[in-house]
Amino acid sequence: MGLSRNAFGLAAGGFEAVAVLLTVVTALAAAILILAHRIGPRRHGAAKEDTYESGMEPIGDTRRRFNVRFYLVAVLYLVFAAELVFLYPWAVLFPRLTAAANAPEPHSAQRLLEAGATPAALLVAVGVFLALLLVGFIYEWRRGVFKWN
Amino acid sequence: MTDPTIKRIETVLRKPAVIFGAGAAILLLVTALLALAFPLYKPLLSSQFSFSMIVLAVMLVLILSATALCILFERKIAGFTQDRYGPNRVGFWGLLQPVADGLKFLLKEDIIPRHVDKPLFLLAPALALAASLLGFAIIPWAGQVRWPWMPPDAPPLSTQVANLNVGFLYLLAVGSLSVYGVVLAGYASNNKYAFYGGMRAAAQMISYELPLGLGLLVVLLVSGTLQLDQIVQQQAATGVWNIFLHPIAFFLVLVSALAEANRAPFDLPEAEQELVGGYHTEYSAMKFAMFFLGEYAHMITSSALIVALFFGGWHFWGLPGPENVTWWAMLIKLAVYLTKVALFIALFMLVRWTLPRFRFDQLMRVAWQSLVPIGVALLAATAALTYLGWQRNVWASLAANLLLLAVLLRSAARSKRPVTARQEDLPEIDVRPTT
Amino acid sequence: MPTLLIAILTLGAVGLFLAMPGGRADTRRVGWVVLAAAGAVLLALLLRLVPGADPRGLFAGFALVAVFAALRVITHGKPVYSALYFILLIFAVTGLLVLLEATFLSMALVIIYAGAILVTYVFVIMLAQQSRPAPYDVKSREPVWGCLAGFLLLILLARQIELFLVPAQRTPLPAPIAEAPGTIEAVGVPLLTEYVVAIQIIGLLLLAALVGAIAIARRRPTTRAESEGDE
Repeated sequence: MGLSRNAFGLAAGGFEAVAVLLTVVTALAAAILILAHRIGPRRHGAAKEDTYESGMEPIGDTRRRFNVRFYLVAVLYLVFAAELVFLYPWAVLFPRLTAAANAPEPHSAQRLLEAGATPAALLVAVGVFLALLLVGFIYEWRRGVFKWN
Repeated sequence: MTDPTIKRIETVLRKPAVIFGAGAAILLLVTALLALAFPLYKPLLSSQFSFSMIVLAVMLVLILSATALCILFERKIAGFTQDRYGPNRVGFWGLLQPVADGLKFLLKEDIIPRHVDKPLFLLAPALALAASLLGFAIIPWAGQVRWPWMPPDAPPLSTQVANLNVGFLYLLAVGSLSVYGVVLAGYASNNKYAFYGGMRAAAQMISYELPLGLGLLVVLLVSGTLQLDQIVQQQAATGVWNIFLHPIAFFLVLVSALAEANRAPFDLPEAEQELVGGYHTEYSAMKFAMFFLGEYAHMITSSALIVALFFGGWHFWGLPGPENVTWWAMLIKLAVYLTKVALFIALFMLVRWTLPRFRFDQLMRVAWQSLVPIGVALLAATAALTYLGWQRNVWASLAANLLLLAVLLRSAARSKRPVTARQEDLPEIDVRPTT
Repeated sequence: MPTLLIAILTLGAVGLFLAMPGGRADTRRVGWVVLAAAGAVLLALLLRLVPGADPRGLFAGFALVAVFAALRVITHGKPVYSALYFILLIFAVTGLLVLLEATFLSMALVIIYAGAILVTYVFVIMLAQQSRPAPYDVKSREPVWGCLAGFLLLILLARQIELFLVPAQRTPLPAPIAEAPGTIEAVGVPLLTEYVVAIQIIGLLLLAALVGAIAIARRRPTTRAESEGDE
């Protein structure tokens, strides 16, 4: 198990603080909901509790099939988000490698150099990666995925 | 309304002396209490974790009260833009309006319609509020501080709630959760307006997360670190804010932040004319208010992020820099930071009351066919600059930005399809001037 | 110890089978009782073995939440709730990753899974929703084989789980590493050197996913189906 010292060491104000914040914020939201539930008046009525559709009688249920294009947007976003996640480590390391001397933390740049990476290699690697993304993007564009009418 | 006592109370509250006097009295009281209790919390200030907890409490209270005030200022700015007064009945200059609003939200009936999916209906506003209040944890509000009673060689404390090594990836992660609040609200309400509003909001939020990510990647290439405190320190050390290096990236992030917060001109999910209230159509009383609080909290966090990334955070030329870690420098830095955030919020509000709302097809076109290509092109340009080692060079960076802008304008001008607001499936119209 | 572990796993498998959607309501209730019993035994075991301030206690807590959320994902009748339990599962796993100091991975998990994949799921659910629950939501398709496969997988992992549970056989905690192992820098160095070809392959895969998504969704609009639900 890789559980190491920092799991409970409250030194850096790191994720422990986030855990506290998460608890506080959840409690706050719950408290507001309960408070609103308790304080406000409560008078039931058939018309009041009906679905509000500008005074019209609701026609049918909302639970029905929906436009497929939203799904396409979601898949597109999914692919691009995955690509971006791969780019973050590169964007952190690349400037350190090209300016290894005055980088804020030259250690990782050294390790990159030891592992045989050169600035040109990194640039090409991400260039190819981005080019693949662009091919897909242009294909989408040509197929009219971004046209909403 | 004719009750004389109520009238008298209203008149008293509308006197500026009463409001400002009460405000000053409360401020004095709080200061006095803090000064008196100082020995109690003095040991807490010296350790990073307990100090972070204090920052957490202070900033949470500040953000929650700021959201209340924001609603007043939003209405004041709306009034100013539309040449009317805005709220001015409750208290002098309407200053007590947030209090009145809050009370009203609490005292109104909390309706749960019959056809809703009750657990999700309750979960949605809680999620919207909670997700938007998580983000501020990594904002470096005031740089670093070393208290006078701490040993001079002790490492200074960071005025962040959490100094995470994942930096603003945390903000991206938390921000990507805010979509669930609106989707669930739309789904649970079982109302067609709410449903369309929720789906629109979701599609919009995820679409604009990409330009946001691309803009952040550009900043990342310049700074080489994800941690906001270091990004701010770099800008403070050189005195060159990132906005001078990458105005286009700033524009991308600004537009995406507006869209992510569902602010006008991206407020289609709640377009009154088409969708009544959008995803919160069926919500009333405090649950409705929670969506509002969430929206404003999101706006504050986005502004704070933009300020940290592009406007030097707490840095201002001539004021204490990163090497000054005294407590009074911390207060100055905090004031500078909050002023910048306030200016951004004012900008967001002015934008809302100036620009008309997009139509949905335009919205998607702006995201996918303009902002994403611009972002990719900018990323490629910045990668080339970084390869040459010029990513911090203002002139090289500005030249690249200008070049990109020129290419964009040229391609827009040469585009075969005229730039119109018409939907693409409508027949072509001639927009060239008739001579 | 292995017998106890195998007993817990068997209980879990049987309970899960009974609790799967499709059975009668009282059978499912029995299934949940069995599952709760298995969970209680597991919790008791963990509480007995894990001393107070051991971070493994927190680890076990997150793990239990993850297991519960995973059970609800496959047993809940409403797809939206299943998706929400999936998000809870993601959060629990994020907690595990943070405890393991895999911070970059934890954030990537939230961004990709909770922020993108689950949004896609929710869209698909909305896309296919009907006024009444669909037959494939009401009844699980292959509960026997599903439960059996999961059970066998866990039996194979039982040795590792046992190592985690039994203090005597537990390997000592690794010595603190000078540099946190899961930061973006630490992940990035091998990613950009050793696995750089793998990244390009992933890029190709994502490209294929893009094209495939259009191939599935972008048929010519046939009839009302497309214009309906249009805005």
